[in-house]
Amino acid sequence: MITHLELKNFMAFTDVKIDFSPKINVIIGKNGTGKTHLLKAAYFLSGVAPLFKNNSHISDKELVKELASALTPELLRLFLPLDAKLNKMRHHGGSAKATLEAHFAHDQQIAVSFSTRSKSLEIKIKDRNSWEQYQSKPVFFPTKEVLSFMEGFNSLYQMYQVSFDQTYQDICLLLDLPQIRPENLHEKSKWAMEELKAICGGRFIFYGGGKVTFRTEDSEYSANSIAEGFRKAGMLYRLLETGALQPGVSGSLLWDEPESNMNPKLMKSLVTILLELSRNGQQVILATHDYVLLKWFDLLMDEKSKGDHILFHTLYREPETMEIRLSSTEDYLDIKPNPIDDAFGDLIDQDIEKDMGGLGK
Amino acid sequence: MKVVEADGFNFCFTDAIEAFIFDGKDHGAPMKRVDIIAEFESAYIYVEIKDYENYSLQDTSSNLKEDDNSCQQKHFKWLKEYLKYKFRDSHLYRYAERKVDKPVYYICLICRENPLNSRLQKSLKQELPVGKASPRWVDPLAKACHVVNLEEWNKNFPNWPVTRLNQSTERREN
Repeated sequence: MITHLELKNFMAFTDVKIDFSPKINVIIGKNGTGKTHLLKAAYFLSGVAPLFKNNSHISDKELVKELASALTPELLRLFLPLDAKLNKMRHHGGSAKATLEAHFAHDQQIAVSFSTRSKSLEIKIKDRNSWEQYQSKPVFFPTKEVLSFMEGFNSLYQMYQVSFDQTYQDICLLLDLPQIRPENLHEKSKWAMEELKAICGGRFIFYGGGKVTFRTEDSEYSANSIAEGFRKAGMLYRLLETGALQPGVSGSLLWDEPESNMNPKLMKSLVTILLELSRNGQQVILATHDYVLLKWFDLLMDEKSKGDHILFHTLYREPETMEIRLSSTEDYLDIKPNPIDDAFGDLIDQDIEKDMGGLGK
Repeated sequence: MKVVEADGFNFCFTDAIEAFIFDGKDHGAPMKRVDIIAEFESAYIYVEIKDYENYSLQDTSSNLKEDDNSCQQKHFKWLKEYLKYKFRDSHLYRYAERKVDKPVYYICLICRENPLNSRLQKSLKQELPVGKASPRWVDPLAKACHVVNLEEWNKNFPNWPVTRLNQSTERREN
C-alpha cells in the first residue's frame, strides 16, 4: 500500500507531494494538471516490490543495478516519451534531476531519478528486507476498456511498437490469468462479482489468449456486441475472479476515469463496490472528472459505523507561476479548487441567464 | 433602492419599485406565503429562503437526520412540496389583490450545495409548473423558477445583492 508520493521535475510536475489514504483516494483536476501521470507514477513505483523476489542472494549494489535495468524500459513504456528518451520526461525549463519517490505501508521507500544525459535510472531504496517480504502487485485500470481488442493484443504488443502504454498490456495480462481457486476467493469479491453480474445482465467468459465472450442465461455473444460500460464492469469482475484484485492481499487499485463509457446510473453501484472493497483492505486511488462519481463517494461513505476514509486530492495550476500544486482534504465541501463543481455552477449560471434575461443585472 | 431583511438575510433590490416581506404579517387568509415579493418595471419576483447553514432557522416537517439517506429523500420531497405550495398560494393571494399583471419569477434561496439545488429546481419547474402548462392557458403561472445558493444569487443578480445578517436579526420591512 502506497502512503506517500513525491514527484520533482517530472512530466507536468515541478514539485508535488501527496499523502494517500489507505482506503479511498479521489483525484480531481482540469485536463493537463497531471492526474494520469500521478496515477502512473504511483503504479510504477508500487510495481517495484516483485522485482525483489528472486534477488535476495545478490549484493545491494547489484540489486540496484538489476532494478535500474528492469525499471528504465518500464518507465519509458508507461509514459511513452518522445523518442523513448528519459530526458523527455523531465519537466521543461529546469536542469535539476527528475525524481520520483514513494513510501509504502511497511516503511519501504524507493526513489528513482534521472538527469539530462541519463540513459538509465538512478535508484535508491530503503529497508531492503521489508521489500522482500512485501510482494503485492498493484493493478492499473486504464481509461479505455480492453475487452473489445484483447484477443491477440499481448502478442501484438510484444512484437510491435503500438500506440498503447504499458498499462494496457499489464491489464490484458491480468485479465487473462486463470480464475483463482474458489477457496481463495474473498467473500467480498464474491459479493462484488454478483453485483457486477446483475449490472451487466450476464458475465464475460475468458477463454485465454484474450478471447472473450459474454454469456447470459440462455445465450452467448461476442464481447464486442456488448455496451462499453458493461465491458468496463466486466473487467472489474474479471480482476476479482482471477484474484488480481483481492482485498487485503493485492496492491493498490489505480483507476483512471472509471466513469468513461459508463452510464451515470451505474456510478452508485460502482462506488458501493469500491467502498466495500476498501473496507476489506483494498487501497483505491482513482482519477475522475465526474461529479456523479465524486458525489456518490461523499454520500455513501460511512466513517462512523464502517470506518470509511476518503481523501479528495485536487491538482491545479497556481495562477502566478502556472506550476501544478496539490491540495488534499477529507471533507467534500472543502475540495478547493473543485473544477467539477464549478462546471455545474456554470450550467446553473447559463440557465438563469437564459430564463431571467437582464433581471437583477 | 428597496432593502428587505428576512430570515437572517439582507436583500438590496437596487432597481425595485417596491419590495416587502410577504410572509411576515397576518394577512388574514389561511394561505402559505413566500418570504419576499419585489416589484420591478417589467416583473414580480417571489423569493423564498431556506437556510441550511443555520439549522436553528430550519423549518423541517419532522425530526429528520441529514445522514440518513431515506430521510434525506423524504426531506427533499417535503421541501419541494413546501416550495411549490408556497408559490401557488402566494400567486392566488396576489391574484385576489389584482397583482399578477406582470410576469412572475420565483427564486428560492436555498443555502446548501449547488447540484442538489439543481435537482430541486428541475422538480419545481415541472410541478409549479413553469411556463404554459396547457394550450388553454393565456399566461403562465410562473415565467421562470430558479433555486440558488447565496453565492449563485450574488453572482447572477448583482443588482440585488444579498448578505447574511447575524442570526438574532429580527424581520423588518424598509
